[in-house]
Amino acid sequence: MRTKALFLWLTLLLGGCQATHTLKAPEVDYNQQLPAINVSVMGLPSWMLRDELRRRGTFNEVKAGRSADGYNVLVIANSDVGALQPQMFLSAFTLFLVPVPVSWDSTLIFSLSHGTEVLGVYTVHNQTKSWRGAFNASGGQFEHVQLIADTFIAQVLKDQPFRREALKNAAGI
Amino acid sequence: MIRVFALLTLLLGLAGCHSMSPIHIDEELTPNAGSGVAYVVGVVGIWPKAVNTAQDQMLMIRQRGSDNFATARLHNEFYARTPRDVRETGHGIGTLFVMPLKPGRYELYNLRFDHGSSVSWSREDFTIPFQLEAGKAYYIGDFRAGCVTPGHSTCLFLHSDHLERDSALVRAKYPQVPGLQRLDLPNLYSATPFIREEDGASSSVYKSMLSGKL
Repeated sequence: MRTKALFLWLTLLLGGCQATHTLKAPEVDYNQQLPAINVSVMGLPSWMLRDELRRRGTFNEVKAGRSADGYNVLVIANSDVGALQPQMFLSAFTLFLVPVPVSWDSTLIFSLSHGTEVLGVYTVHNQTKSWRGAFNASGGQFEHVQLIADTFIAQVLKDQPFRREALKNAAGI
Repeated sequence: MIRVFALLTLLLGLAGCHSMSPIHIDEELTPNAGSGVAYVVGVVGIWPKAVNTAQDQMLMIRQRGSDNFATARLHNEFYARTPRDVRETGHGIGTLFVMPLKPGRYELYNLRFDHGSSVSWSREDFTIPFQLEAGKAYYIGDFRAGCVTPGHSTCLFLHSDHLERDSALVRAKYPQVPGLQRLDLPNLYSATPFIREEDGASSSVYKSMLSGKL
């Protein structure tokens, strides 16, 4: 019995289900609606970030690339998501049964523009510590990017750049 | 030995040709007493001229802003299959699906092809949005799949419109469903190359690849 409990405890410890993030999950109403955006990403797997932005359904549509007349978001990332982690070789010696500690560190600059006019620049930083092995194959990368995407959405919802632009255009007329 | 074999054959014969459901709907999207019902109707299947096909082709729909999803598929194996409501010359078969869903905002966001030994899907999701209102039935169209080469290759759907044929099928099979109205999918092009209009611009190269002429 005691060995079983110890084994369970050890598995849980090594399994390291828990990832810790420096970012907190924002509390916003994702059901608000924002216009479609074109997202191009440098320095991070772009599909990963776009899929996490799509998931919330806040932006009417999240397209790849840039458009001449729509809203563009250029993302410049300084991130190690998707990069090779040398310590994974240690885990590989044990057939990935023993996980190794990994960390993900990302700073993303989101630049939202419409035509030549920049509507807003948002910076998001997240650092994640986790364990990576057979039981946690991605090592918390997806959670890491998901929190970044959610925080960006929350910042845009708070900042209201689209409404600001509309007001400015209305004042211009 | 022969007796065992005969028994096994008999068992397979009885259990086999097992008919599977073409749809799966998450519990959160299943309509309940207070929510009202909206129907999404369409056909998913294999393109008549396709040379290479997958065993299972699936369309995936989710509620916007959540991970709750619903799927429609054609499964095609000799011992287990979804109903074949449409049958054309060549390889053409199709399953009619009628999905009762809670009203709301939805999107067609991915697809899935099962080749038996491998599975493929679009790595990046797409957004083909639509709005469902209670008490209405929406016709999403006819999605027919084919693969470019045998084995673990790229597969894609050709989309076409057969509202008249499928209305008649629905009336015969599901009399409780209200009259179908066409669902407008202006964003369908964003799922290129996984979904193409069958008669749309630049579809001919896909058709010639799927039919084995290229």
